[in-house]
Amino acid sequence: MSDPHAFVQEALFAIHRRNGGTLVELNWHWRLLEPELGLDSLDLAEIVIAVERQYGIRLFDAPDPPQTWGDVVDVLTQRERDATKDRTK
Amino acid sequence: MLLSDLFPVFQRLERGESFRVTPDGVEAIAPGDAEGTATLSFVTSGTTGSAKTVTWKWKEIRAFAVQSERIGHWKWASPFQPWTFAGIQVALQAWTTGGDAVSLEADWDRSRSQLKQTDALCCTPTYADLLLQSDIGWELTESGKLGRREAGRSATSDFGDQRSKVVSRPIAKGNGSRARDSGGVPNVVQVTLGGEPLRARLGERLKRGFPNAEFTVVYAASELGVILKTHRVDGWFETSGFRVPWRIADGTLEIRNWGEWKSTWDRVEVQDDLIRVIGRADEVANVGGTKVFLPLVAAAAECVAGVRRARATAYESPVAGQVVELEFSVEAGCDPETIQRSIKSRLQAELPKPAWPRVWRRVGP
Repeated sequence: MSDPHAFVQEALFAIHRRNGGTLVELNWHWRLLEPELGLDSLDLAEIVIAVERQYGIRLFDAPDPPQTWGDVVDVLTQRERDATKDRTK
Repeated sequence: MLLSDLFPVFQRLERGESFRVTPDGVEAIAPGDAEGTATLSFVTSGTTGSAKTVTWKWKEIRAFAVQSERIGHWKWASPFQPWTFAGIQVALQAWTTGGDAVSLEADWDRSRSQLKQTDALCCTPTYADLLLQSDIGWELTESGKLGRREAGRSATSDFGDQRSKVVSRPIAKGNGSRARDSGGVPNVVQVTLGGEPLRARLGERLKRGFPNAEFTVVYAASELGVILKTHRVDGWFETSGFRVPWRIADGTLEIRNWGEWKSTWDRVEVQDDLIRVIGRADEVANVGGTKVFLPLVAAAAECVAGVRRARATAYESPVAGQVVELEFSVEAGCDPETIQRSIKSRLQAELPKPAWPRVWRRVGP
């Protein structure tokens, strides 16, 4: 499975650049629809679907859905850890 | 039950009896009115999608059959079921002109074998396309070369002038004449398409796949009968073909029938004196509060060179409610990744943002 940081950043920047954005670095504390990212809810939906399909997870089914991009990566990282534990049992 | 099982039913209808045809079989019923008018009833999903029984007077449904010497004693093959309006039409056409009706299945090998002894094929555009795709033998490619289709794939090779001459051989016409033994090319001389909208690219492909055939595209509804027919294969019908008053309300075609305006629930587009059906009016995704008409997305994707078929559906999203998912297959020899990029850039240039596919699914070889 790919590194969550790298995957999320790549997916996000692909849409950001499609929208004409020029950011080169992502602040992981930014909210999902941080104005500087230049994303609308449809773009966000596209990124979320890409992430969900890659990691087989429903991001917004959690009791505390992610608020920031760092939260997203935390969810994915935790998921990776759980999967590794399951494999070593 | 086979299409030809309707022949004795038609004979008895002709004598004034009435019948209901269902998947369970045929049953005699009481006449449609006090005068003893012969009627034929069948169950249909109808224009609204909910099952209901439709009853036609025998003389009215019979009037839809074409009378022509050219089609006399033909063998008509079709996958339409005998208890559907389309199946009844096929069987009736064969019976009226002294021909035979052959029921086709989704067993492609068997269907191809049956088609070798058949004059006419009546089916949906998708069925005809799948038949071609399933290795029907030879298909003339856009470059004019013949491509051999094998095991769901196709590879193009140049077979030179000799086989091309076979393909372009004039069709003998006249009473019961047939263009058979044309060297592996499907022998049917008539292809009648209906049951779903025909897209231009598929129409072109079918013309290449059935080079000896004349094409008729029918737009019909079980409650309203045959509404339009055309020999065009680009999905458009001539509006001059309407035999009843028609209008478009909120993008949907309505037909005046027995003094009432009835919706076909089909979304249509009109350009000058042409009209085409784009899809069912309810094929809509709600993307962030915007209604997206899904057949338009699929049609735009199919305009991209290298796309064989495309289908757009609604994909549930916790962020936007729904987004558009595009399922597509590519022509043999095309790189799916490249084609997907081409579709993306074309749709992003042509369609409003809510209609852009956000989920992609590639199907086929």
